[in-house]
Amino acid sequence: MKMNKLGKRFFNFIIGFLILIGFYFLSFYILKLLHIAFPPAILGLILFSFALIEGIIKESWIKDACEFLINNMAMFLVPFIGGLIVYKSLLIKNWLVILVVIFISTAAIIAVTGLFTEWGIKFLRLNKIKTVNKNKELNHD
Amino acid sequence: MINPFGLIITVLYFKLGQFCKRIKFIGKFPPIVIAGILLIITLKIFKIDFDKYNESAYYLTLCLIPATIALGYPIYKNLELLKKYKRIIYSAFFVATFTAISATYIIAKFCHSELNIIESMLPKSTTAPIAIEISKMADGIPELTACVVVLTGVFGAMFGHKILKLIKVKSDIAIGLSIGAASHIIGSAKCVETKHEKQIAMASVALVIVGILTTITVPLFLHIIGAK
Repeated sequence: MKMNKLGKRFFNFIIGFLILIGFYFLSFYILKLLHIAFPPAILGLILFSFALIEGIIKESWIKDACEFLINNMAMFLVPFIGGLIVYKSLLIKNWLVILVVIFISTAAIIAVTGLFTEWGIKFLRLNKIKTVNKNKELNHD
Repeated sequence: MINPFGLIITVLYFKLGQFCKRIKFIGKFPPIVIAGILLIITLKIFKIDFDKYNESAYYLTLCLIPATIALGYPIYKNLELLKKYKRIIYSAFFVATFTAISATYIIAKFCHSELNIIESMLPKSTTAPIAIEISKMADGIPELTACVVVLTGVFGAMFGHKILKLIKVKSDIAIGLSIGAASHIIGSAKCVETKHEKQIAMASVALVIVGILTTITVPLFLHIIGAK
């Protein structure tokens, strides 16, 4: 019984994986047909989200595969870090610039986006309270 | 028959990095940093050619393609939240993308760096598979992009919450959105540790949508500044 359950999960995982690959090839050929230079994986991501939201694909089909891939995404990147060996001289020449750019711009993005959203939400809440109060006043009259 | 050495050693090092979470000082670094450093040391000490290593490790990087597409799942999961605050959230995505690209370009230009290095750094706030695609499209160096992306993520994960606390941003939506937008999946992992449901949801949605927006914006931006 337990073995059966495990087998079912594995089967589900394979199905989910195949669906994801299918979306890649679908968007790859769409882009090739239309001669557009755009990363196929990202068009695949957009199409996949729409298919999920519209209910063309059921959540249960892809849940296991998606969770596995997202949780282990960092592992797929490790070979790229190893690939830096090839670009050693480039890195040694530019390491300071790269670090400065990363530190300042990342801090800037976090601060700007954070403040923007915080103020936006506060503004929205304030507006809501105002309209509610106005309605109350009108009701009292 | 290809040599499976590269594949095995990569998975092993990554699992070791995950295991290090429990150790006091080293635990602060994400597993990918530990695994990457160990890998570089190994390749150096045993004088292994990178191409030989990559023969089998290449299959691991191929998994990034379905992993990118799988990012549609968090969008579907958090659709309710997106609808509730849609105006602010969507404009915040645009603000984040614009800040990311222009800040990176201006600072890099200020430091007099070469064009192909700037091109590799422009997509640094998007999640790695998307950033690598953008970098290839813009004639950048994918390996450098991967490194920059990881460093950005680590920086955001380590200091993101502190910066936001300093400038008094308190709402979970704002925190999740800005960290997800700036430091993608590595920063989002930090939000998962805080266990605030809204923060996690916003971070995962932000990293996907900012990624898509950046893909569209980077070629346009390079066209406008006349690099292409």
